Amino acid sequence: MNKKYFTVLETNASQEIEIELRNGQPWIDVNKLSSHLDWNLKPEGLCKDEICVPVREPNLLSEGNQINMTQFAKELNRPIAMELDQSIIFLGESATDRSTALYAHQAPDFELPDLDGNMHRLSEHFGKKLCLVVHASW
Amino acid sequence: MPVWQEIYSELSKNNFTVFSVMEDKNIDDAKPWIEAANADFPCTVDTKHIVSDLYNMFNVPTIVWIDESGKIVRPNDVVVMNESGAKLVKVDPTEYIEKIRNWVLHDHPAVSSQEEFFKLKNERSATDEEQLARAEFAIGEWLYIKGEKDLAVKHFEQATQLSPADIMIQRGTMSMRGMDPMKDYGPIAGEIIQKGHKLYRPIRD
Repeated sequence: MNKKYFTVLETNASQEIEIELRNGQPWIDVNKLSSHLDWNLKPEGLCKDEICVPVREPNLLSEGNQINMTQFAKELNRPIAMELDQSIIFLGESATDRSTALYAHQAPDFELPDLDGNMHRLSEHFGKKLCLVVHASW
Repeated sequence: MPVWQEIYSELSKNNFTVFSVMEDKNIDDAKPWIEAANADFPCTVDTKHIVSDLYNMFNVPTIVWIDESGKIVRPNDVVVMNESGAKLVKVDPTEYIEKIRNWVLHDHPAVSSQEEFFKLKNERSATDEEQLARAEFAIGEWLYIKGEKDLAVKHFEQATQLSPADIMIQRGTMSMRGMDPMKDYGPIAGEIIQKGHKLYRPIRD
C-alpha cells in the first residue's frame, strides 16, 4: 500500500486527505470521498445532498472501495490539476456550476485578508449597494 | 484606486460601499497601491485568484455591482479609471461613475433592461478549458509558495496555453515566470489578439 496524505485544494478550501497512488493515478477511499468531499457513490450514481449524477464509466471510476480521483472529476465535468510527487491536487468547479452559482441566489461569498492580516468577508457588506472592484499591481 | 475612495466618500452615506480585491502574487506587490489609495473600505489581497475563479473574471480592473439583497445586478465590467486605459477599453470613466451615482442615489436600474442583463451575463460564460486553466494556475500558485518554482512555471504555462486571453493568469503570473508584466505583456497581448481572442468585454448600455 502506497497511501499518503495529499493536500486537496478546492477554490475556497484546503484539506489533507489520504490518497493511494496506483499506476500513476490518485485513488481515494469511498468513505473519505464522502467525509471530506461530500460525494457518495450510490447505485444511482455520484450523489451530493439530493443531487445524483449518473456515472458514465463505472469501471474506470471505482475499484473495490476506492475511487479514481481523475475519473471522479471527469464524471462531474470538474477540472482537476495535480503534481503527484508533491502530493498536491486541485479540484476546481465545472463551468456549468460556476455560471449557475453566480446568478442563482446571492453573489459568491469569500473571505480575504487586508494588509494587516485582518479578514474581510464580502457577505458582511450585503444590505448595502456594493461595487466589488478587482484589480492588480501589474 | 484613489477614484474609488472619492466615489466612496461621496456615496457611502447613501447605503453604498466598495470592496476591493487585488490579485497579486504576494501582499508586498499590492501594498504600495493599497497604501496610496488610503481607502476607508476593505482593501484585500487574493494571491490564489479565488475571486476571479468564483466570478469568472479574465482581466483587471473588473467591477461587479451587487444590490442590497446580495444579488449580482451588473456583471463584470472592465473599466479603467485613468485616461490612457479608458481609451483602450473605450469606456468613459466619468459616464461610468455617473451610472453608479444614478443607481445609488436615484435607484436607476443597474442595466437598462432584463434582456441586456442576460446578454451581459451570458457573454462570457466559463468554458471547460478556462476552468482547467484556473486549476493549473491554482496548482502553480501552491507550488510557487512552496518554493518549487520550476514546477510552478510548468503549470502556469499549461494554464496560459489553455486560456491565453485570461489576463489574470497570463499577465498575473509573468513575474513568477521570469518575465516583466510591464515590458513583456504588450507583445504577448498583440499575439493573443491576432489569434482572434478578445481581451476585454466591451461595456454596453
